[in-house]
Amino acid sequence: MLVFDLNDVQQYVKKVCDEIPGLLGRHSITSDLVAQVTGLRADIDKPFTVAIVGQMRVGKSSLINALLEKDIAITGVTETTATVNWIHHGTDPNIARVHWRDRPPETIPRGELDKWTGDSELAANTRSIELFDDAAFLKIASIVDTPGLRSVIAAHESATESFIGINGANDKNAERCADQTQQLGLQADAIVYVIMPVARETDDQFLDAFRNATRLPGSSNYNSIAVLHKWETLNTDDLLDERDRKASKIAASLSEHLATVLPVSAPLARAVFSLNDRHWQTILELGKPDNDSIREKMLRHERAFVRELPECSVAVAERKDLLLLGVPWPSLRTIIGIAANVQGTSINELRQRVRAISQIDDLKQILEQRFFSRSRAIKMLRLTTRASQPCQLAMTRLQNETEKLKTNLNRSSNVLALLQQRIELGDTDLQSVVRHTQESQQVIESQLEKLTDTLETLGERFETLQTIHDGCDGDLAGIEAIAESQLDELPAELRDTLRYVFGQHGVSVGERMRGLHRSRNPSEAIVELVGTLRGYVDKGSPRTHHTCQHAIDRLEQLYHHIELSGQREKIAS
Amino acid sequence: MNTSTTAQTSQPDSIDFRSVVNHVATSLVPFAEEYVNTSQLDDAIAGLKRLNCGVFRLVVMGEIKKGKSSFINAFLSEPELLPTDSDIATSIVFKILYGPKKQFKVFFFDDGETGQPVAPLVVQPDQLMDYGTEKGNPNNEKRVDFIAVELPNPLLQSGLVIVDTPGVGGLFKAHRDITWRFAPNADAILFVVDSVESVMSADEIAFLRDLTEKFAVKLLFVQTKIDAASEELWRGWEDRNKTILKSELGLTDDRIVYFPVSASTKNFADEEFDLEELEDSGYPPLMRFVAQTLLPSKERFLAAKAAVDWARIASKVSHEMDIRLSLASETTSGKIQEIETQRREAISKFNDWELNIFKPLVASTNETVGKISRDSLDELESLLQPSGNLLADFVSAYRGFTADEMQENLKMIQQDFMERCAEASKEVFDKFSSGFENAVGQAQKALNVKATGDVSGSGSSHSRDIQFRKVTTLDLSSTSVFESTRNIAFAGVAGYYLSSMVISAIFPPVGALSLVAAAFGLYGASETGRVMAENRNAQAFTKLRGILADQLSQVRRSVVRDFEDRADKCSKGLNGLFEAATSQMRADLQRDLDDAKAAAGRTHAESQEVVAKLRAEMMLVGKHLTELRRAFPTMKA
Repeated sequence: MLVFDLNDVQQYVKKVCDEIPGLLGRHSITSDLVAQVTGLRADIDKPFTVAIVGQMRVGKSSLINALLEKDIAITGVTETTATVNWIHHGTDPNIARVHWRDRPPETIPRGELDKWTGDSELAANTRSIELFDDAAFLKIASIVDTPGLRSVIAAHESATESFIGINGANDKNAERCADQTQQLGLQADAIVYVIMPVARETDDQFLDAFRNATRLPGSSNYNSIAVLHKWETLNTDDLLDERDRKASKIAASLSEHLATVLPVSAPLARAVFSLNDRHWQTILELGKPDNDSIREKMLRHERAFVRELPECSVAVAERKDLLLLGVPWPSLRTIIGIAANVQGTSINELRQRVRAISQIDDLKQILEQRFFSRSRAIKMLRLTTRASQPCQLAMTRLQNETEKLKTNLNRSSNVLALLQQRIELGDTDLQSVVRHTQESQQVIESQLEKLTDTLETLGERFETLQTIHDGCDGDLAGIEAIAESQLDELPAELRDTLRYVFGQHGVSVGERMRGLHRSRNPSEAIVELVGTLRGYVDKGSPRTHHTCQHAIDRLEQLYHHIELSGQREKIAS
Repeated sequence: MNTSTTAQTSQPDSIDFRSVVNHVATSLVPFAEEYVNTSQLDDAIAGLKRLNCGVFRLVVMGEIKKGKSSFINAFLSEPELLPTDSDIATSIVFKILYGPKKQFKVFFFDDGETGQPVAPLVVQPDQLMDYGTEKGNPNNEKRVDFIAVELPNPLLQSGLVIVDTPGVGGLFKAHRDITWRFAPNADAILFVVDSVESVMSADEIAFLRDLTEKFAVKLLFVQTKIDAASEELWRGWEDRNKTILKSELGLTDDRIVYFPVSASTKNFADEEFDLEELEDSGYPPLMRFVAQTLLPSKERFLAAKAAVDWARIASKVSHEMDIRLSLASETTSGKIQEIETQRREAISKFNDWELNIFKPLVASTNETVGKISRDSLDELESLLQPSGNLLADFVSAYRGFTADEMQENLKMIQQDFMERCAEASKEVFDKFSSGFENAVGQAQKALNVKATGDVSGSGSSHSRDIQFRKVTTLDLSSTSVFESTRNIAFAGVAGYYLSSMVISAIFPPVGALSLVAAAFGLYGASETGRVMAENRNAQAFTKLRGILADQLSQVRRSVVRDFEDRADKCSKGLNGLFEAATSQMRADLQRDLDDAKAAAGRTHAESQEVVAKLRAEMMLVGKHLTELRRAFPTMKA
């Protein structure tokens, strides 16, 4: 059953996209809708796209590097990312592909990209850059690094504009922001919004626009999450509490825009893989109680840190070494603070602790849960919504046209009847008029036939698209409900099974079936599961009712699919 | 530490400008009282007072969370002085000035309902949060104007007043207006950026561009929180910010005064008396700049301004003395009588001019201004009509909303609506202001032409002085008239900020809110079902419309009243200027005539005496003028 397996679904949407232009092109009243569909066709094969967005200097590129555990995205001291940079799955991280504004793309060594930062001319002439890495999740989704919002560099604005497909920016900031994101909504499937500990007016504007551009019927903010970044710069004693407090504050004030707000530290995560054992040893030493009295003074600022301090058990030269590792000062300060709090541990335990506090793994998990595992469904939602819009419009127009033609046909039948009467009364001159009318009638009839034919096909496609859309939406809602513990009335085992059914662990038939007992006949397993679910449909919360009903629908589709393929096999043998 | 800037100008030389001006002014006052009209003298004396009281207003501005208050606290070595909070803190303007003991005084706006002034309130430091932060005083519901902080701090003793403003760019849009209100009176603006969030943004540049276009004010830049960044990073940002200021605002290197600082390092240094840390904090160069360059520069500036006033008075006095002298030196009674006759003719000619040319011009200008005012008033009234399009267009956007949504967002909707009103009124204010300026400009042009053409030139050899006088004293050609009328009308603030200020002052923002929420709540939870819900939504929509309409009629009353006031002030101010322009001339002419009469009645010996006295006085005034010019060589002759 094609509405079930998203691999088939994708093929189906593609097929529809190929077919619809021909259908719509048959009638002059719908030919203008063709362009909408052809734009969509190009979008289908593009990988799932997660855009990293936020104001300049908030650490978008560092965050990407921390996720990949490699320095792929370019980072620096001032506004660095000057172009829209796509990071795709690939095996050669040492090359980059530059898409110029005015000439064909070119492949260059990755090292050359240092020249593209800030307001360089190269950056101004570049539309986008592709970079490659072999991280597993890039197979599922491409990451887009964007130039920061609010920068004074005109080229950065135009880089973002180009990415989102508009030219000639409006001067008014808010308007431009809205335009950008509207377009961004058509290109990015999901965003990670990187935000400072205090939200600004501009953050609100951006997220509001993105929400409006991507909101789908009946669905929530599943496609935007925020990362609270640079929290190490908060100047407070209870740093971790404070960052969590800030995160919930932002989550509360921007709750309609964001599914979740997670504090993350890219520099801390980076430190875990870039510092060697000797460095960690030094950090552990600095955290020792022997150094308690001078630590506060030493951690006041970078210059105080490398001052001659006879009381300190770590030599100046070793402290200086730590500053040369590319860990920003506030982050290094935070790491030493962590070391002081976990006294008596080993290097590895400290590493683990820093990694845990960086929350980079939590971010990966959220990305996996929220975006990657659902990427197909999210993407299908977007594609089916966009594909059904022109279909629906066309159907309305064609139906109106059909009505009109039918009225004409009626009228001409009446006229013919009158004429026949006259002829019967002997008015034979009217024979030619009758012939002419009959011919016209035939033309109208054939037109009607064509219309009905198109309408039928369109109607069928539209309905299927709707079914796919509702199926994906129901799947996403179900996964969300389980994750948010809204279905705790169901036994844990059943919930696990449903996760599979809803496609959390893969969207092919086989992957969805994996949650069912495999030892038995699959059809029987389905029947049994449906029976269990029926038991929950009429009791429990509305949410449970809803989700179980959806699961039953899905399982019925699954059942048909299996039966169908079983029959096919029989016939084949 | 190499943080001092290239902008530090040379040390002031040894001349004590203030005492030079004071000395000259004191000597000139008795003469000025005889020869110069009172308004000119009053202005010059006011300038002298400003110079002598020596107040310097340093206004601290910047985006939210850049550490403005912490910066000031560390500057004054008072870490707990102003409330600092890890969320958005300052929502009210704090003015910190010298006082014998530490004291916080809260000043309020006039009472919203009765319009009566409200007495200031002395509060304890722990009460500051309740008045001066968004947390304790949301949306300024307590109607605080500003909070004065008196402090016995030696840095403030020289007359330095530090003004802390709420940060701009946050989710509280009203803060920007509050901040703007304090820009016109600033002697210098200290703009705060940081080393944590980002280099200067497009928003900050737009703010500064606005600021520098509207007010010619000295700018200083402070980059805070250098302790929270590596040196490589904060120095990189300093360079980048300077580059941005150069390319985006066209500032030249010598005009960028820029100090990277750390408040927490400064506080630590103060606590521990640690000189090394003090240097690291970056404060010493800034404090040196303020004490040695900024404050003296204001004194020099004010002294120079006063010097110009008094030099002008000296010239005028000596010119008048010269006329009197030439009359006193005439020996034959026939000559004196001839002069007397000429002066009578001049007076009647002036009267004719005043009656036939000046008055009609004044009348027609007044008429034009009146018409502009009335038109604008009509426009404003119909614009803010509750039955008009403004409300209808605005409210229609909420038609599809549920009652709950409306109730939840009521505050925001009301604020949005206020902004819409402010924006719409702004256009009218702008139109009025440019129409008014235009009318003044026209009058100015006409008078200038007519004054030279009609009044001057009586042809006689003795009329040299009179002719000269007529053209110069009717001083409508200078831009001063234009400037001062506009200042009367708008106190130097641009229209938009003005109208939005008016509105935010009128609205104790959303005071009626709780009542309104209760009204929505009337449709209780007991009603269920789709029809009920729809019914409820429709009722809520009507209710919303009603609330906004009420609000609009309040706005309308206040805005209209405010506009009437302003328009009235404009036309009064204009007439005052017209009046001043002619009264001096009339006084001069009258004195000439009196002098001629007096001369006719003198004996030879008496005349000799008058001549000698006048010569001595002229010498003295000339000496003073020379003294002023020597002290202020750049002053125009």
